[in-house]
Amino acid sequence: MTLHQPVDFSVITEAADPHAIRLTLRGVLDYESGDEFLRFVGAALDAHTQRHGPVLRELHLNCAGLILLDSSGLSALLTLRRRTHPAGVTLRLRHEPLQLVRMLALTGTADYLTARADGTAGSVASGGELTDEAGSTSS
Amino acid sequence: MSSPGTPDSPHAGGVVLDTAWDGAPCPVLVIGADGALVETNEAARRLIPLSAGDDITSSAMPAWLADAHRRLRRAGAPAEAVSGDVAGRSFEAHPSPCDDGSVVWWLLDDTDRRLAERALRGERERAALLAEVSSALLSSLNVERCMTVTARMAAGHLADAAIIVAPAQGRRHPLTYAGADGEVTQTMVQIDPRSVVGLAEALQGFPPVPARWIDPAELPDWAVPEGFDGPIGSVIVTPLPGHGVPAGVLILLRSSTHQAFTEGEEVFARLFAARAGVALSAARLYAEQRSITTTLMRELLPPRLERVHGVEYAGAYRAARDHERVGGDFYDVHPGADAAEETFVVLGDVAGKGLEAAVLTGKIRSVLQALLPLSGDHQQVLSLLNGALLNSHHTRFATLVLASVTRRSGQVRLRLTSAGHLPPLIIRSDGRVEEAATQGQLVGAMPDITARSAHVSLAPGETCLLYTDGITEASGGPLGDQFFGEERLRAALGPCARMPAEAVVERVQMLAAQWLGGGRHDDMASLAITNPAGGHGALHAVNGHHGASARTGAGCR
Repeated sequence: MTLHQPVDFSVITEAADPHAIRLTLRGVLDYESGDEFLRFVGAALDAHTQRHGPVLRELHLNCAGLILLDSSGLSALLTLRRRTHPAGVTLRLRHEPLQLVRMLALTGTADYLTARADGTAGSVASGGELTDEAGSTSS
Repeated sequence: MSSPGTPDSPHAGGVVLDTAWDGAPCPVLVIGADGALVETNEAARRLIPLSAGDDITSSAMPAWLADAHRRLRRAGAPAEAVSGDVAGRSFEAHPSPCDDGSVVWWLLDDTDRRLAERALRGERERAALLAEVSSALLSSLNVERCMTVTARMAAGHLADAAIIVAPAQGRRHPLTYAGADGEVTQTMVQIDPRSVVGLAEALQGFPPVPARWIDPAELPDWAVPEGFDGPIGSVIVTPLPGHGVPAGVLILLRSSTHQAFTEGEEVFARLFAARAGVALSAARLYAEQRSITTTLMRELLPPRLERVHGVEYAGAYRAARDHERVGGDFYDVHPGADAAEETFVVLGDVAGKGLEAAVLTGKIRSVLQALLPLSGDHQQVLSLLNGALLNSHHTRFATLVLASVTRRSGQVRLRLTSAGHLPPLIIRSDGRVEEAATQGQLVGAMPDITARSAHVSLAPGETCLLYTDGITEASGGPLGDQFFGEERLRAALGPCARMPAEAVVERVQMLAAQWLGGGRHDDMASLAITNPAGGHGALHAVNGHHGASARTGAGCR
């Protein structure tokens, strides 16, 4: 399930269990790849719901390989959040590069993007932490 | 049984006159050395009413065959086949000279082959004409020129005259006339489409009526080009089919001295019209789009900025794609009613590119203009704008910086609020570059937003620069892969202390463009707010009082 882009962007599904999907983003998420990204994630979410029912709780995006995220890329993430949050799915950004951290800080979107979807206050911790929880949640 | 021989191996035993000739599959004439007809077969007699003994000089003998015989006698064998018409059909005559000086002429009917060849040639010419039509028409996206070329080609190749009736513009139809001489004229005339059989239908794109239904005598005056000689023999009215809507109607006229249109010609006229229609509607669509774009663009172009109430404003904008003039970056300066009131400045950036982004910038600019009375409270302006932009379909957001500017006793006071945008940079008169301490959330994506304003004071010679990330993210440099970046921008701004606003934005745009080289880039905008050095501001404040109030919205570059 690899998406090849002429602009050198790709999304890969690393792991999935009934409650979490882990995606790895690579390359440039921008004006040209934003729609492809949303199509891919949308299809992955649809497939997951079909297979497991509406039990998904977390969508992890590993951003370590993200070279650049421009305003259209941020727009894509916000669109994704608009779909996942009402469905009770929390977005979690992992290994964010400095550029992404700064962009989310500048635009004041970090907390909003990763706000817990189950209604509890506060947001999921985000930021370039290096420890991954892949081992505990993926099977 | 004696052999009649064949053209390739005429039998050597003199001329044998027997009924075997009648068995030959084609007309055969045996002409003796003396030029008299020796023998003919039944097929030949049916064709040429001559019998043995008649001389070839007889009027019934086809002249071309008699000539060929005489030439053959003079030149001797071998001889080549000749061809000519007999009784309305075409024949090839193959001679077989015999030893005694007589010649057996075999006549082979090649009428059908010639017809087929002529038809093939005709088709080739038509195909070539269609290709010519397409290449001549598709090379131009100018509607007028397309109609001229179509009319001229139609008159030159299909008829004696051609008229193109374009779809009505208001009450009048643009008409294009072309005569066989290639002269083309265009006019706008109020016509009744029902005055020509099939025209009203064709203008709606219905299939053409057969030419024989149209009585040439009933054509209205406008349908006959000036200088068309003699009565009209036949008329074709065929639609020029376009993309969904007809691009007009082609009327072909032939004078009565010419052959009427055949069915094949009618079909061909439709093919021609189909090609021309595609080109015409493409040209018309293009013209429409261009006029729409021009109209919209007028509203979307960044305004020209000038000095207002003693404060200098200068803006510069470069769209992401060089052939575009608008994009996702925008700025506006709304002067206060008088020097005591705040001038409201906005610079922003919409996610996305091109016209789609430009349309959203137009919306934002309109909303902000409507919210001007509330500009005293940036937070409220941003919240209202956010509400206006929230949209269930997409999350096309905008980041922007608001600035409210007043000039008091030589100092320019700024209230700056960033909504998810890069903070403004302040260029102090001693060359220091500071970042305004404002931060907030972008608008158009989240239900609630907050922002923190910063208060900045500019002494004479100091500038506040608002800019979009197209400047700092200009990708280029020595290796072509590095951002221009905030550090380089700050370093470049240091020497801009005490410069006029115009010079500051010029320098910023120029450095970013240099950094880019020929590389791809996003929209780049910058806006400088400058407290003029040298204290000339007070003087201009008086002048600015008049000019400022009118200058709020769109200007031209």
